Amino acid sequence: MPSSSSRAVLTAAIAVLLTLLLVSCSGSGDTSSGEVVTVEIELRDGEVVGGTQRVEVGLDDEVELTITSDVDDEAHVHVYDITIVLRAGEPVTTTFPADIGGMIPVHLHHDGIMLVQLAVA
Amino acid sequence: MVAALVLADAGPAAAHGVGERGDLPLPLWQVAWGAGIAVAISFAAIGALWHMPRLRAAAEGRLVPAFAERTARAAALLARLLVLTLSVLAVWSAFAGSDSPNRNLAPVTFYVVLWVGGQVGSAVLGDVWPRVSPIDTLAAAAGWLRRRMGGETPAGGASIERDATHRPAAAGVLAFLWLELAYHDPGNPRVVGGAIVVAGALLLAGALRYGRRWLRTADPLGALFGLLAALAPFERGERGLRVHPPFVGLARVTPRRGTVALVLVTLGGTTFDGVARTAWWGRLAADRSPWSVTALHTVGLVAVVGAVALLYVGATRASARITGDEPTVVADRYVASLLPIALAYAIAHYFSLLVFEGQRFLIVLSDPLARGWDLLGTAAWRVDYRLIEPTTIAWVQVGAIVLGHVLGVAAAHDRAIEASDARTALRGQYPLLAAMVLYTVGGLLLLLNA
Repeated sequence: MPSSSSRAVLTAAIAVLLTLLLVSCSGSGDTSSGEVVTVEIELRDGEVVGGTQRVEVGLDDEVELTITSDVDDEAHVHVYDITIVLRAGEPVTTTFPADIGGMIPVHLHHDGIMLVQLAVA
Repeated sequence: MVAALVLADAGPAAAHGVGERGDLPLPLWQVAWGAGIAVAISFAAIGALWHMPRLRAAAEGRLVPAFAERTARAAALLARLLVLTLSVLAVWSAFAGSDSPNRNLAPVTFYVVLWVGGQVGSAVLGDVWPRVSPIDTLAAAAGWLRRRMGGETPAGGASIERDATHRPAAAGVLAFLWLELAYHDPGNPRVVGGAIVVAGALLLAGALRYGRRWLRTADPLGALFGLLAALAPFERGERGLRVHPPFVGLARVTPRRGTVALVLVTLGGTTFDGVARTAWWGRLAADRSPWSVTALHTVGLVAVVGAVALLYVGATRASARITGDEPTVVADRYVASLLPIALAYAIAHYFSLLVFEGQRFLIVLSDPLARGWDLLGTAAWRVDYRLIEPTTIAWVQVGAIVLGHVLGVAAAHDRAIEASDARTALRGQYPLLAAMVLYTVGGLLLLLNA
């Protein structure tokens, strides 16, 4: 049967672990900001050439999104609520600051296929 | 800067009903620390925890003062009216409002306010659902009308509740999860409206036939919320509202036939939600037609629920061999200790949903029929995605899962020593501890890939 002293040691060990965790918490992600992230997407026959990608973007980076579609269409950057009008054959470039964190989907129309997923961290 | 990384999901916007924004993957160091702490606490628990069962006695608590009882009753009545109004509004919006999930009241009410809010609210406030359920309100009104017209209310309420199982409820929750996680268009307001009407009609018919007490076990969400309410500090006893420390109520959970299934389905569903958010699953589901996606997700949901169930059944069988009890008895014995883990999973996956889509709920509530109204003055608001930072979300996710694990381990320990003598009890809980470690580490690993 564990004595109260060994119980104290156990509690202390757990407290140390938790403190270590809290102390080591900062500086986990890189804090580059203000960089320009270029994302290029090509749409052909209703599908994304090369497949849908997940792109890492730093918080407060500039995103330069260029979409080339073979037909007239419309894309939507969720969360940021940006609508992009696409013309057949013409690359359309939209630039916006990535100031909201999270996994941000960019869809064809409002809920069509996903063109790219921006991981803003 | 390095561009493309991993192929992601090409499916519809909302993988779980509503919500466009997803949570970021947890940083690896956070997952590793969380898992390490969970394992360390599990080993510590074996030696350092108490040796006499404590939770059941602590759950006795005391009666609240009379004014608090009166306030609670008044608040419950007000809540009942509000919930009924909201339900009617949501169904109306479902069929007459916008067909966009972001501007319709039904999907956000169904998947965020009801499903997530109901689970968290029950864990904090206690078993409030039977006091606010719109089906119960309608059944009560129907019963009152019937009595006024000289009819009889159905008898047999007490025996219904004694003999009822949770199996229909488990099936009902599975159906809900299928709609939310497997079906390819869960946010479609007409579909949500249809689901509410069909489920509501079935439950109301049952309540009219068997009495309102039938709802307590037959209403799938009510049954689940009732179990999660064991985590809350409030409990309604025979002599009134009682208060006791939170979480100790787990000792007083009395499982029925089907309770284990209900809890495992819930846990499996949230786990599958996590699986479906990984990049790996996204690759599997990419470039498929909608019904093909539904079929794949159905298989996935069933498979993950099965895996979660298999782990629990395996652990309880192993424990039964150690202590010499019947496996079903052991499964019932430990099912309450899964509840903190199930709630923790729900918080980890849906906390940000509650914060962001909860705002959307308030906005759409001002204009549920998309006619340009502004009932609450919130119609012009935009969802503030900067209300909480991704780092805060990550902390809540890891913290919830680790805390859920700690509570689960403590509850299992208490159940174990209540059932057997000290030595076999300690050994009998090892398989359960192992299962919980796997649930926790698995849950954390799923959050790596968001």
